[in-house]
Amino acid sequence: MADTDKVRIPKWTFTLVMVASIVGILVIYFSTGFYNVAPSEVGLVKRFGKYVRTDQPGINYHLPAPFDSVTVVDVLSIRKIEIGFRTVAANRYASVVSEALMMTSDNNFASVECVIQYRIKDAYSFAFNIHNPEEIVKALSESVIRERVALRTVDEVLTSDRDLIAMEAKDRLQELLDRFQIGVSLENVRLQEVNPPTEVLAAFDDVNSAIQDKEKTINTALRYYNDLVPKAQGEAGKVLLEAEGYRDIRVLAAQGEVARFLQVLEKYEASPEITRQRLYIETMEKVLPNFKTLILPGDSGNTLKLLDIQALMNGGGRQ
Amino acid sequence: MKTLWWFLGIFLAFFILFAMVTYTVDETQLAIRIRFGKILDVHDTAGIHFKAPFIDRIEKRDKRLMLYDIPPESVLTADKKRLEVDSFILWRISDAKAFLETLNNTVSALNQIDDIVYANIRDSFAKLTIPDIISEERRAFLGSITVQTSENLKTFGVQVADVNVKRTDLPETNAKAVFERMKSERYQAAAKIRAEGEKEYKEIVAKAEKESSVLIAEANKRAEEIRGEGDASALEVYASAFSKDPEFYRFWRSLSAYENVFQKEAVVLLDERVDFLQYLFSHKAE
Repeated sequence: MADTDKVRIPKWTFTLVMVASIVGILVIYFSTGFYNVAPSEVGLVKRFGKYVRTDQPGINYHLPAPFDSVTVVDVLSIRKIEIGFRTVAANRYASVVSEALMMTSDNNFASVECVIQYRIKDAYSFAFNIHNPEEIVKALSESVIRERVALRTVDEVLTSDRDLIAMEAKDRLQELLDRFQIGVSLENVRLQEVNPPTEVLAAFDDVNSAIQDKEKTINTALRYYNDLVPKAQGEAGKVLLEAEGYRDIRVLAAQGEVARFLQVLEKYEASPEITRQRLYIETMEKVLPNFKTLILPGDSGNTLKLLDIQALMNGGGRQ
Repeated sequence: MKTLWWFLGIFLAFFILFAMVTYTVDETQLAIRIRFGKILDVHDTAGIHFKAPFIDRIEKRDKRLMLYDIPPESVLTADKKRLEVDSFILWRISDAKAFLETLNNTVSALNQIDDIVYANIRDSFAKLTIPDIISEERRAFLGSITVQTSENLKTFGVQVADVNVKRTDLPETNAKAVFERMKSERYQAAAKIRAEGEKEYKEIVAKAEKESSVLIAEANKRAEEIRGEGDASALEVYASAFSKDPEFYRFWRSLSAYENVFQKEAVVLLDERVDFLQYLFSHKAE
């Protein structure tokens, strides 16, 4: 006390400094309890390790350590699990073959890539009941997807049943997540790439090209059909028209000839003998110039035998 | 001034004393109070609890549901196929006292779990064929494996929520055989499709040829009929006219036939007694 008297610092000043620094320390200590909760998050506050309340987004306060602690959980953001592939960078994916290959009911394999989206619906369960919840969700998802795939043949998996697998898997997975109180709710289960394994891709492609080959072959045949049958129809039409032509010509010719005959007959009936002679002579007149003609006198039966017909013919028989 | 020092001192002493006689248990934990190596009690409710200073020791364990991804194991099925089974188990410590007394820590717990799950899966799969394993039955037998494992692990203070099989794969060599079989199946299917194409091709071509020949044959048949009609009507026309005077028709028709029939250069011997030559060598009337 003698010393303080010497430097003459008043007693009350020292007390003031002490109180002020204690108050300052306390203010700093209690201000460590302020914390921020982002819009998609909630803050779970524990007092001496025991959960006491949930703080909503904004600036919040909890008692400083060792009294309170806070666990902030993002409850609105959608979380994603990838099965059979990983997103390496934006729009770049790498497949994980061992995860993607799944056995089908006909003992074949299909490569199935799948995305599971979920959200936290019970922050308390998710944060305090489950150790490493993301891994549990992933393990259960993989098991469920494989189970659904294993119930179908490879063809069903690759074609018709894709949506059904995703739908069934979602229901089943949600059921399991609820049973184990993981505290998440599924938004979406989607099958992405569903392909035959790369080892057999060429064989599967060959089936597709076989289908195309088949169609091409059939089209070639149809082209042949469409070429040949109309041609035959044309040919048939032509044959029919020719026949009709023949028929008409025959009938017309007959009618013409008959008309001519009837005319001549009319004249003939008027004077039969004259007409008959005239017709005969006219015909002879037309016919005979075409011939080499030998005229033999009457009763020349014997003479005929003596004639060298060959010589006469060659020498110009007309005399 | 003195009162301030006193105040601080008492506060500090009280604080230290409080810290010595209490302990906190987190929401995720179980706490076991041990005095001289003997377990006194277990607290699985979070919050603050009391203990005796110096002589009580507190052990804490995680009570959350945990995943243990068991390394893939090879098992034999009833149909003598070897399968790689990749399983996992969801478990938690339910009885901290039993856990601490038997297993003590997670590492030895996982070893124990590993052995028991493997044994149960092996026994269970040995009674099943591959078709059973991948059928809807799978849930039932996984359920019974879970129940069995639960029963086995109860004494260790471990509660089993689920034993699940993530993957049942054929071993590598078998996988190759499967790929080969898949390939040959597909190539067969492709060959069949192509053969069907060929078959249809031949059918269509044959049909085209048949249809076109039939069309032409039918046309020919019809054409003959039409020609026949023509011939018939022509004959009818002739007959109806010529029957008016058959004798004259014969004469007239013969004359026109002479005109058409005889070729040039034909040789004709004419007897002078032929009608036409009646006046060739004579002018007398008959």
